[in-house]
Amino acid sequence: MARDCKRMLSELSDYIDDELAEELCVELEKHLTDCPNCRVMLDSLTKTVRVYCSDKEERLPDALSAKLRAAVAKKWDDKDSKSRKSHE
Amino acid sequence: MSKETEQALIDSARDGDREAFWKLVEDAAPMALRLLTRLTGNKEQAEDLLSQTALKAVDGFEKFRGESRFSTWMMSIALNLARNEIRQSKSRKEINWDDVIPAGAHNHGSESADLVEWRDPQEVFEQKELRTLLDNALEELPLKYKTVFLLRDAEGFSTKETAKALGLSETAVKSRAVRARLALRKSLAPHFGRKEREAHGS
Repeated sequence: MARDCKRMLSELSDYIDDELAEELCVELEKHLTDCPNCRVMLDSLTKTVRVYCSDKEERLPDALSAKLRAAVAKKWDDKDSKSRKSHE
Repeated sequence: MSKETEQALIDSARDGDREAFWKLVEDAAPMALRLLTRLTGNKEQAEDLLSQTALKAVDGFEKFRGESRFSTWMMSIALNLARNEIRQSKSRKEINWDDVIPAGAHNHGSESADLVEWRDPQEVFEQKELRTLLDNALEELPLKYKTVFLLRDAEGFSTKETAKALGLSETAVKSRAVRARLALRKSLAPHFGRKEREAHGS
């Protein structure tokens, strides 16, 4: 890659995160207009991030959730009773 | 979960409300399980580590000062446990900058075999096949980059929250995120690049 493109790599990443300073955004967008390699790089980096974002299971399987809940409750109660004893 | 709801649950849990504490754990647990599964590559081990994470959260709840989200705090516990389980040899591997930027594209604007346009991964592969490809690419990533990528990109943490969960500076998170993304992009490029452009390219 040209030196200019190499320098843009970190900026492409910040650009994807919407964390690139405005003046650098303008510079990067101008560069992207002229550089097909960086356009492909931006698109493929964005797709890399996006493909890992998808497919999220938002709930635990019921059996695991029940097991975890029982373990947390037991630990909480044990800790609670120890704490009460130490205050007696 | 909104910050307000989370804060109300934290306050109740501090007053001894076990159910409120469980709701906090229940909210963060699916994310922790995804993270642990991807880090260990082993479902049973990940479930065991999740259980250890939740129990450590009960034990250390007094130490949680509310400077980060509860989920961030729980992720940092999960990550510490996972790090101890994972072979340390992997964490010592480094990503070489020159290895992950496309080769053969030294002239500005010229075409490179590694810089072909990508198809939409979800349209190219069946979900199960895609999952295997993604997991294999992640497996190659050194641990310190993998943890940043999983929190920052796969789970959508901000740079600041990722830094808090990992005990890193925001600059370090950004630098590791760039290398992780470039390394994964390179691993996935042979699968997602448009074959037709390769055939008709330079």
